[in-house]
Amino acid sequence: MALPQQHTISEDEAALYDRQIRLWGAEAQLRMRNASILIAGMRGLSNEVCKNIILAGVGSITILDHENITEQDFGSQFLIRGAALGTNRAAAAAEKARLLNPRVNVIVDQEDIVKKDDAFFQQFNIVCLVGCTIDQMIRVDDACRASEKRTGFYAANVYGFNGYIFCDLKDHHYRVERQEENAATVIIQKHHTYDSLSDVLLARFGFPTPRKLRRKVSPLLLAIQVLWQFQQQHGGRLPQSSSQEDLATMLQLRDTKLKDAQVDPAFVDDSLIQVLVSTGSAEIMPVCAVVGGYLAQDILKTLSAKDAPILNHYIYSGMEATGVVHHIKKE
Amino acid sequence: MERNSHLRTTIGEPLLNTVGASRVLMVGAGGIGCELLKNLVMSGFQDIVIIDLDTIDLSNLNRQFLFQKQHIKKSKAKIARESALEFNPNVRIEARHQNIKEEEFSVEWFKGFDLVMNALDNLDARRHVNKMCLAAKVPLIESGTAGYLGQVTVISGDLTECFDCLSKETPKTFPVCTIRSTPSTPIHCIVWAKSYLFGLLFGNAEDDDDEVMVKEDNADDETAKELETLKAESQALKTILAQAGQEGFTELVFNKVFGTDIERLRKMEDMWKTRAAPTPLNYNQIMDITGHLSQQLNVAPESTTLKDQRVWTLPETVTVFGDSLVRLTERLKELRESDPEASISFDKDDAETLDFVTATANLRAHVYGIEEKSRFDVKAMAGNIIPAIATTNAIVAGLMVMLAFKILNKRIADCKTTYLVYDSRGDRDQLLISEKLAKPNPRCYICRNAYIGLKIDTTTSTVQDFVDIMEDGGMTDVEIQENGRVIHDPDFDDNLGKTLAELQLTNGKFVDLVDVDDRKVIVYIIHRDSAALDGEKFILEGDVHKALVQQDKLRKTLEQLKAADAAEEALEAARKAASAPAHKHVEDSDIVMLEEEETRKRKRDGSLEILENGPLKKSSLTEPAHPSELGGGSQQPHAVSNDGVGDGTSAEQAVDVDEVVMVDGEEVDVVILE
Ligand SMILES: [Zn+2]
Repeated sequence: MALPQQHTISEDEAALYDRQIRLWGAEAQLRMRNASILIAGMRGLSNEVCKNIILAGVGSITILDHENITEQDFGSQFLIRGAALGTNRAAAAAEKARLLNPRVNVIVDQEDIVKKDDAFFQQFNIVCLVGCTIDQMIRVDDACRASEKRTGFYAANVYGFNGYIFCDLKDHHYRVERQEENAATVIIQKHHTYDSLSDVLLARFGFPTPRKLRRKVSPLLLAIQVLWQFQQQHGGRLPQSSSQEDLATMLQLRDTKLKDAQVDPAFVDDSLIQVLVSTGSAEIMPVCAVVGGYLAQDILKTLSAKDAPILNHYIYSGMEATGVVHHIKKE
Repeated sequence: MERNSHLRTTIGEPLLNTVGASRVLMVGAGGIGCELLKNLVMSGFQDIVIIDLDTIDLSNLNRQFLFQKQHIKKSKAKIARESALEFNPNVRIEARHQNIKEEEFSVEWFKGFDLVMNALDNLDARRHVNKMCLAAKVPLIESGTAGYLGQVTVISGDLTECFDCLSKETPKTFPVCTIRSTPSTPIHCIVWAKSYLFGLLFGNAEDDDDEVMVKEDNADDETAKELETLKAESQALKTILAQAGQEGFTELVFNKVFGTDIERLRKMEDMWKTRAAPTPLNYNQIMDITGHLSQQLNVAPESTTLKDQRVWTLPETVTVFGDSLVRLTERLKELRESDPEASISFDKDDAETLDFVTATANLRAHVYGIEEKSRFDVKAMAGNIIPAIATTNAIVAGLMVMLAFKILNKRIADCKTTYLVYDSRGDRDQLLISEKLAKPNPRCYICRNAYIGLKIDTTTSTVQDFVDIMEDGGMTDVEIQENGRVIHDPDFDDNLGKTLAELQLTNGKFVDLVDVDDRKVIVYIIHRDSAALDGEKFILEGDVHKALVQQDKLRKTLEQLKAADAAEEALEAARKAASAPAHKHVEDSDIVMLEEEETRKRKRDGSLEILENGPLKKSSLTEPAHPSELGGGSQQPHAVSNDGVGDGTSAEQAVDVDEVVMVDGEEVDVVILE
């Protein structure tokens, strides 16, 4: 993306961004300001992410969605207004998004993601897919990994009280500052390597005890992977809340998935699958706010090359009020 | 499929209806408040009152997304309401541009809500709302953020700890001699510039050394003498002020403050035996050099650094000193033409005052060989700025609504205190940590007390009437105080004949009562004209007798606790006595035990800290306390660093530490973590 690379923060920006520059520094702010981000799939969660990263002052954000606004979209997408019913989601959200921070270039793309070629994704610094199918996620992740621009890949979604973030930065270099006791600041350069989404899905755990397993992966993440599989086999649709048939399919998929992953089938309880089936299609504001807050924060962390981003899953459970990070590797 | 279909699927029809029928109060429409209001109007809430006395500032716009540039200087509550109604026009929002401490927001008013949510940024208002909610028996959701860190919790009567159950961090103070004679850190110089020099030059004559400097208790004769001398020096400076506006004024002030005063201090050899002596500065010497360097000074600073973030050179500092001194004295002169008592106070957003404090603090630092700071840093340290970002506020406000659902679903017991921790090094596996709600502290005066409302005509009822009412309820030899002021006790009955109104015991006042058996009750006065009391002389809201029974129980608990503490102390003493040098292994285990005790104590005492929307309390998971942005008085630097924060809960991860480590930009040896 041919953005003019600017090398300083203006005094106006310094005043506007004062409270955050005091947190992450002017260099991080500058990196964000020169960055381009794609958010594909406009949902409640995407609205949150857009709001947060636009406020932070990134260079440009492209919002991609080919669908039109339905009545129920108003329940979680606060960037759209009543009059926009029936119009394109991305276009409607962009109008309000621009007002959040006129310094950020908000670009609308109304094309279907399936029609976008790999080169499209490779022009961004960060690509973030919200609520997309697992097939799209894997394809776009692979495209980002092949990008010369080292495009970072995120995928996320919320299901009722629960939500996840997946992150693949391939090979990410960042710095960590540490205050020594003598008040000197030590800067440590680090890097993390990330597995691709398709590799992550092949992870084998080797039947450990539930206690050991729980430290590696949460039942919720495995249940969400089962949900992706269901969608894959059903033309992208989620299970219907009240469908016994869908629930039975989900339970079956759970059994095969856990067997393949070398995990005791009891690890992912029936009730958890049931909750995902009954609420999986719903996105509610507070859950979007929490997951969207972490997602935006992590995107900003990655852009600023300061501090460690999520490696490589973040799982939020609203019922338990926990947010855990799991590093899942192919192994 | 309509707007609420997602919500209905997730929380269910009955709870959705309860949420829709509830009335909630949101205190604060700032960083957390904007996010919270959006979440509430999008989550089925239909009846919301928001209150905030603040107006919108440019530096809010990076996170308070309901506000835009054209709203600067307008009421936060009102604009927040307007913006949120756009998300959902079907909600009733009442906006109050007022202080929550105003009298009209009485206990009765608080009783009109099903739930109160705090999105505040200062200790004082938090404590007030805490008390009002306890008295009104309304559950309260508390929240706080500072930088990446945050916290949410629930406060509810007997079920949980209240905001006052743990003691608060008091604002930091410094010994006066450190500030006036022997500074050793940048903050000492900044406090000197802001609280001493600035006040002396631009404040009122009566304003004494302010609250941040405390006189040492054990001041010996030497110290006393030194303090006398310092006082004389201050007087001498004030005489110079008379020459403001005349030729050479800047030089005069400069050479006095950074020259002669320092010369004198330097001669006190005893002071400099263990520390480096200060070096006086001379105005002309510096300015001479400036003349030679003027061309170099015009060269633009390196392009990646903001002017504000660069430490000024000495000549630059002197120039800023001169400019700001002249402008501030002129401003003061103008002000005093209309008001002889006028003064200028330091305000971090007032460029001239910040320039002056930055310049003088750095000149003093230069004199003492202390690190100089950029204007950007001085602003934070002198203005107690706490960094704040949208994402942390968004997460915290989301968690608050999740708690609201649980509370309205009558599941308070399922609520948890949740902390947002920050991971800089990638070695944490939990970013949100939840703990059970803490039980109330039995020693807490604020929540371990009965709150009883007394509806009474304060203009006709006397203190005697009040005493009678309480003694009829079962108290004996009652002692009455209001905000520390003694109204009545068995040895002081002068006020018995006075009306409550005469003694300012008016509507909304909290009155503390204690009887001969040390049983405490807090009565809040609800003024009602006699005609409105249905023929009664008074109406009690709450049962005094029941309250006294509870107080008896509490006293027993406290006695048991006291006994347990004494036993523990005795045990500790015995253990120490037993650890003779001969038993080395005992000694070792003793040390371990002591360390554990230390950790436990720290956790228990974890003082509350209040930040921008500051975390409520310091837990083992959050960083050391930061000062309040509005709390005033505190002088700590804001630095939020999260290294070393942790309790070792994380699993090992493949962390590659490679390449080089830089210390202040210099390359040094590679450091391997873990
Ligand atoms: Zn308490």
